[in-house]
Amino acid sequence: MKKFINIFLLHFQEVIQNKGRAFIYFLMILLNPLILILFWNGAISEDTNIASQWSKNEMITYYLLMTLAMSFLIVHIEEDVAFKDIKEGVLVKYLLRPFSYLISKFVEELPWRIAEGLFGVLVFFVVVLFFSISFSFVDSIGEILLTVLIVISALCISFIYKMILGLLANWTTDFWGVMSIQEVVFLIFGGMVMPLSMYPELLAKISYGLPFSYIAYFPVIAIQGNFTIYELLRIVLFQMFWIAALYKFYQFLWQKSLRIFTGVGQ
Amino acid sequence: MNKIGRYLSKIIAVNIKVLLQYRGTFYIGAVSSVLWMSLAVLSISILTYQAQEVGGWNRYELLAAQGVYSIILGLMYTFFSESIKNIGQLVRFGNLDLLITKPLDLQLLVSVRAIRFYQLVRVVMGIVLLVYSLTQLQISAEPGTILAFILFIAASMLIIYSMWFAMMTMSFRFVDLFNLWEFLLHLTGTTRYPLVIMRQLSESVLYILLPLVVVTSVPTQVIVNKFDLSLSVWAVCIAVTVFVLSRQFWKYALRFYTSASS
Repeated sequence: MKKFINIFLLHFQEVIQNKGRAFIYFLMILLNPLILILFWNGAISEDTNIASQWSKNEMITYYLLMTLAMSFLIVHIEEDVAFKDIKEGVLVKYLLRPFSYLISKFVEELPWRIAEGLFGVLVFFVVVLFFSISFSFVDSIGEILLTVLIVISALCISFIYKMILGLLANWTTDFWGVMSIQEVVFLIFGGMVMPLSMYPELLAKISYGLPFSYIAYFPVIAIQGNFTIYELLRIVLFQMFWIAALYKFYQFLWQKSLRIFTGVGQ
Repeated sequence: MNKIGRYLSKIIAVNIKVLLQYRGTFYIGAVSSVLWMSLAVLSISILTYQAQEVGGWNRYELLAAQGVYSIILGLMYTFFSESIKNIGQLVRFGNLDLLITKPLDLQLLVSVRAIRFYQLVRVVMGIVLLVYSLTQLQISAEPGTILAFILFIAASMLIIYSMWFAMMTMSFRFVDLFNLWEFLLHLTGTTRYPLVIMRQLSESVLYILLPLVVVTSVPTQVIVNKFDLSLSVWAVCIAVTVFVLSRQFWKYALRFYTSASS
């Protein structure tokens, strides 16, 4: 445990050293939700049908929380795994160490998520206070605990999924293609465009059946306090299922990767 | 002028050879462009599934704006982005030395070097989307409108080019601008929605963003018959102004180039 704490602290120093970079990454995440807030602001003012489903404040809170979720919960370890560890052969360094590759990558990534998440929290409160936006939050103790569990599970799903993506670099010559495809899929099925409940029925059903919605969408709606305790429990169960399934698949890919990895890349 | 023509034809020939050598990159780039286009179309379809109209713009007009955005960005990515992105490296490693000695305008040399032909897929898809949207809107563009549309596309490209170029000119002062470059690309991405959506911002913010918000709006307004004369004049003025400013900035910054060895 101590060695992982040390790795975490070392990488935290790196994040503090590169706080400007972390902030720019955060700004990139912030841009799209801001434009969508403007879009819905106009749409809700003009169309009363939408206003009956989602109020302007709820929509603004949704996108602000989505920004927060995207900065804290969406892991970006796949580039590191694919380009540094596999393509450049840095994986050798990890293979020689007496601890898990998966956990050390998680500990390396965590400081970046915390830093960008803090920027998200800051922007959320600045916007909410500056524009006097009233919003609802999850309030009862039981629901808060389950929501915290949902957020932690979401981070785990996101991390294992991105590790799987990174490992795919063992079988691809140009990894940018995989990155592009996954980004599109994530944006559509993860609820980044708009709340999944407002999607056309078929698309919403597909989204609920995929792991992407459990990474950002469900945690955001849970934080907004829009789920009953039973619904929260159901989400936790589904998240556990996805963690188990993805972890099993990760282990399978990891074993296969070790057989074809040659130390100097592909 | 003849020299410029000869240089451009050579550069195009070299880049076609690169394209033929790395066909896999072309196919992956093409698939990626198709996917991003699908995402944009799907996003607008999802958004307009609930809101039929925003600021007087319906689904097909928003799709037309998306098509225009793809044409502009596709052309920029094809001809300029890779070269402009590499200005930092030219400065950092002293490779600008070699280019300075060439008997051609240095700004042209650093701006058009690597051409990414696979990005033309994005342009083609943009044209297809635009034609589809115009058909749905029952608009048949007159030759005069198409000519004006091309003019405003060029003005928009000039705005984006100047902003990208000015940003990378800062490489003479800063060591690594990779993050800012990425941010600028994201910022350019916000131009896909028409100006009317941005109008909800406060005027001061709008004027700061003005160079970017006119990029897609003006050519789209021309082609979907929502022509706004004052905004169009603004767009051309902004294009010329930012181009002149970025060129002056480049000439000023060049004085501080000391080559890698000095």
